[in-house]
Amino acid sequence: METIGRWTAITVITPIPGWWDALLRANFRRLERRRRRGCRSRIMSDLERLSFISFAHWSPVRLPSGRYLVFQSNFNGAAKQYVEAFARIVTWGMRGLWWGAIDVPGPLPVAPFEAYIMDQRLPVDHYYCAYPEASTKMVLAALELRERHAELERRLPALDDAAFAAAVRAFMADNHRVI
Amino acid sequence: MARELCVLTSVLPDRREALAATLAGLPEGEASPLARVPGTHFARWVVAPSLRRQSDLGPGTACLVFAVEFDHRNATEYLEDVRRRLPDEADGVWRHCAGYPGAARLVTWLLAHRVQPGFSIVAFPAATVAEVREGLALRARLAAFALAAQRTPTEGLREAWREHVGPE
Repeated sequence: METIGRWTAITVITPIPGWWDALLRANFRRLERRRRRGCRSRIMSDLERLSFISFAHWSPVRLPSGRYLVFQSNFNGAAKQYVEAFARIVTWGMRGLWWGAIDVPGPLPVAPFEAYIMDQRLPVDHYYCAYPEASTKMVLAALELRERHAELERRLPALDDAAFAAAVRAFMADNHRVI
Repeated sequence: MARELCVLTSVLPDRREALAATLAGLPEGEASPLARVPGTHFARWVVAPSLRRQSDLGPGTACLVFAVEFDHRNATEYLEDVRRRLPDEADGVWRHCAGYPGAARLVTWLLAHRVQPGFSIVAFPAATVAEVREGLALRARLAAFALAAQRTPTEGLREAWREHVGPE
């Protein structure tokens, strides 16, 4: 059950050598420091273009059986298109995450990388989402609308009928794209 | 603010099928036991059949991945909520894992098996589940109002707004 409503879950656990584990951890610490300073990395900007992702995480882990990179994400749509978009749009980011991993092909050309991810993704045994029928775009639009609506609601009680109608009609016209 | 947690625990060698059956038996959607933990955006249980490297031909070791995005202040609070709100299901799942200490020490044990966060992207990091649901419901109400407003004269608009969108 890897899908629920509009959402798909993907989980891939890839073996990595010790040197890549160390490098990833150092890079993740650096990215986190930059993020805290308010700096935007190229990979973050590229990833934000993938508007169908709600969450994606990459975590290195050390276990008795070896070192691994755990990748998991929730996104809208089919896994194949998701992986292809990742490979084409965040090409350097994907190299930065998986380049040193064992037996993982580079993101371009897409076909071998896509085949690897599709082959290695783990079937989901139980999947839950609190808002299954909403896509990432719908959630972002709803959150934006919620803020604008709160601002409008503060003004409405003081308005007479004509001003009320004008304010509401203007609100609806301004926000028709997200409603 | 949405936070993430990923826990990896080893599945006992002879329990993989029993664990898969337990997970397959959990109800889905809003009936999912994880729906009982408010503030859960997404959650999944995944049984990874083996994490052994290809060069290591020893017997495979299955792992259970529990990954979640949540609103709680930290992972401890979230897992305490899991232990409290789905005690039977949590026990039924993790009892198939090596070293499971029982419900009383579940949280400490899970935290000891936590995968430390590496690099994440989150589309709406500041939004709680309640805010997302509220926004989606508002969006649906405004869509209904948009239709109603097309046939409502100016003097009736306030009433239509109250009816479809809520208090002004």
